[in-house]
Amino acid sequence: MKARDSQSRPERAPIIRARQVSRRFGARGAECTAVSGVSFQVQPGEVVLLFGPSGSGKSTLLGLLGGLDRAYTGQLELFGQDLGRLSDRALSALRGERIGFVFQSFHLLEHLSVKDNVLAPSLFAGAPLPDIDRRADEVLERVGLLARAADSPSQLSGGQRQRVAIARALLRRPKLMLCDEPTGNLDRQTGESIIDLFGELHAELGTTFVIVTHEERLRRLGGRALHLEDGQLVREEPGILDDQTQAEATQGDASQGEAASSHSQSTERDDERGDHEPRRDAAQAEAAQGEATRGDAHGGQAPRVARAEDVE
Amino acid sequence: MTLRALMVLLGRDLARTRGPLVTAGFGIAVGVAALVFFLALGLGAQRVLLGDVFPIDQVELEPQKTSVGVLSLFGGEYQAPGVGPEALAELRQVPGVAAVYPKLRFRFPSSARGGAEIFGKEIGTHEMLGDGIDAALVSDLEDSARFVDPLTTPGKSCLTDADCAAKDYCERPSDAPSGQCSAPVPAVISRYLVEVFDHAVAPAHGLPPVAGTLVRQAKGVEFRMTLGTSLLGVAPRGKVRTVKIQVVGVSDRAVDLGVTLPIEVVRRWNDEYAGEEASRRYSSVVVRTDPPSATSRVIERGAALGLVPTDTRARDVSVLVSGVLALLVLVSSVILLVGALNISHTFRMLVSERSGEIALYRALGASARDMRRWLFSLATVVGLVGGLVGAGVARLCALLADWRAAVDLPAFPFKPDSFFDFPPWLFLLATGFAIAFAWLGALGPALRAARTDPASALGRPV
Repeated sequence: MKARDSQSRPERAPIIRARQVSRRFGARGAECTAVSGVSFQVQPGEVVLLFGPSGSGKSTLLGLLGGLDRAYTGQLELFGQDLGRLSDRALSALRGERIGFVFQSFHLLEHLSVKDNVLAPSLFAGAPLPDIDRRADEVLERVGLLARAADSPSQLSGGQRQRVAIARALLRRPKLMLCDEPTGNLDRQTGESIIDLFGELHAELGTTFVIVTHEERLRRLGGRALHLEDGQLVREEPGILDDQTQAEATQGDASQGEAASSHSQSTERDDERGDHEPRRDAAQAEAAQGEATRGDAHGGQAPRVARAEDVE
Repeated sequence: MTLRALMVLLGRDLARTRGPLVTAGFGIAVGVAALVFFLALGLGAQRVLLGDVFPIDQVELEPQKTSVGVLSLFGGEYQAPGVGPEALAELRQVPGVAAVYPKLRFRFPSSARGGAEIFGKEIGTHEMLGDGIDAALVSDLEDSARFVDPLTTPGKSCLTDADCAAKDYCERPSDAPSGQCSAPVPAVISRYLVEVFDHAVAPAHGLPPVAGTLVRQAKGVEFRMTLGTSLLGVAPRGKVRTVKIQVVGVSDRAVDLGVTLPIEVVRRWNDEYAGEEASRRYSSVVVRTDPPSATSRVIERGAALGLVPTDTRARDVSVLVSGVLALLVLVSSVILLVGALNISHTFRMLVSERSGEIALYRALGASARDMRRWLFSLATVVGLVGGLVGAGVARLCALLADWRAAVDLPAFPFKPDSFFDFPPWLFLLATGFAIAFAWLGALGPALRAARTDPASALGRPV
């Protein structure tokens, strides 16, 4: 299975590059480390799943990746730009123009209509966005809620609310979608529909996804899985699709001689240094490769979203 | 964030948070209402006290009085010190001096009778005092054009009044073989004189008070003034003769007790009865300043010339009015400060309640600056509306106060039609104050909103 943009590869440089990123909370002497020395890269068009138990630092890491939290140490690059060096305005512009957020609790504004919620990101554009109204209708139609555009979010079901949140995230055609437990507040069936929607959007738009979750069923999106425990990146599992992306990421990592997430040699080296790089699980990699093969067998052009039974 | 987007945000805020914002704006409106009301009252008081009662934009300087004058009485004819042309020239050079008007006091004895038009019978004084002033000093008179030396347009030659028209008289100096027919000499009298008459003279003689109708009735009233003699004696030179005086108006520039005539007439009469020197050296000089603050410089320069202010009440009143005004402004500022605290509280609650929303906006691309602009703009709207409402309330209260004063307060000297002044800049100032205090109140919450940690706030529902 290959996403459209994975094939065309308009952007060769990693969208995300994290090097020894740490985040600590609390006063000196009573510090709590939420993220500890995490290094990895995300290539354009990839789907990356961040797994881990509660309190493992997944959401904290996602906040760092989105530039919502800047109190980290280490180096974090987004779209080739060092977040630590960006001004607040530049970082905000970057967030508004290139990143879409989807949250577990949707974060819809109850006093606005569905459409106004979708249009909310346009308020913070530096200049008026052409055809933004039509664009809002398009994304609402895409998530199947155009007919509910005038409704209040309170009139929608949980799944519909999350679809509105997704439409809002898509409004400005982001290159990167950061999703924090997007199915966490949804029942199983509704969650499945959201996962399907993600799969479809990834296939159609080639958008890069980084999804924080503890639900294994999202594996059927085919993305690479990074496992966090106690703030450390302890294990990486290759995706069940997009082998080309994986190969290129590995190649890129090797050429840079860094602790790229998908490079076993650098992982071993970093392990020797004490860095918290993911360990590759060979058995899971084989399983994932098998899934990838099945996906290719499915046509190789459009990404196939594996059903829950495929991975569970 | 574009201006249009900001307007959209503000419109939504005003719709959904109307109650708290109205409450926040109420404090500002009350403070502004108090500020505008007190300032307008202060300005009104200043206008009446310093504009009419004690004009502060001008100062009258006269030669310093010395005991030498008393001693000279024993040595013969007393020669009063005067203000010479050189002193006038120096005063004109002082920065801020708009105009210099010399005054020439009567240097001869005189008396007067007349006023039957008003009182029904002739009244008079055995001792008439008077000044001669420049016509420019009474340019605010309704009939200021009439305040000119009548001999500017002399009539026919005459020997006695009988040679002239009935309303005119023969202006014939003491040693002149003949005179010229002249219209009555125009005179202005002071409001103070009217007040003294109404409160002291009229009750004593059973005469009606004239204050209410003076301006209307006094115009055209004629007096006959006898030059060269009075109760206290006869002039050392010149012949006793009678001239006609006609009141043309009431002016604050007129001498308090006596009549005020065109300076050219007094110069001529002083020359006739007291000699040439008495017609050339002025008794005092009125210096008009712009700005009024230049008055102090004029007083300093006058002191160097041996001239002192004739009246320091203006300065005393100015200090008093300024002090009371400052106190009232302070009270208003405290009210505004309370209003600002009210806004601060409301905005703090707003920011606290909307931390999730603010975090969401940050995630959607809003910068910290956008958040500050948003809250400061909201504060601007609250301050602007509060300021305009407050200024309007102050104006209504002033109208009400003026109406009650007109109905309930008895007539008193210098009672104004309005106790308030509302210059346009006062409304601008009030609105500016309102916005400034609203910003002051919003400052903390706005900074807090800008510092909102989106990552942690997004863990909570909007």
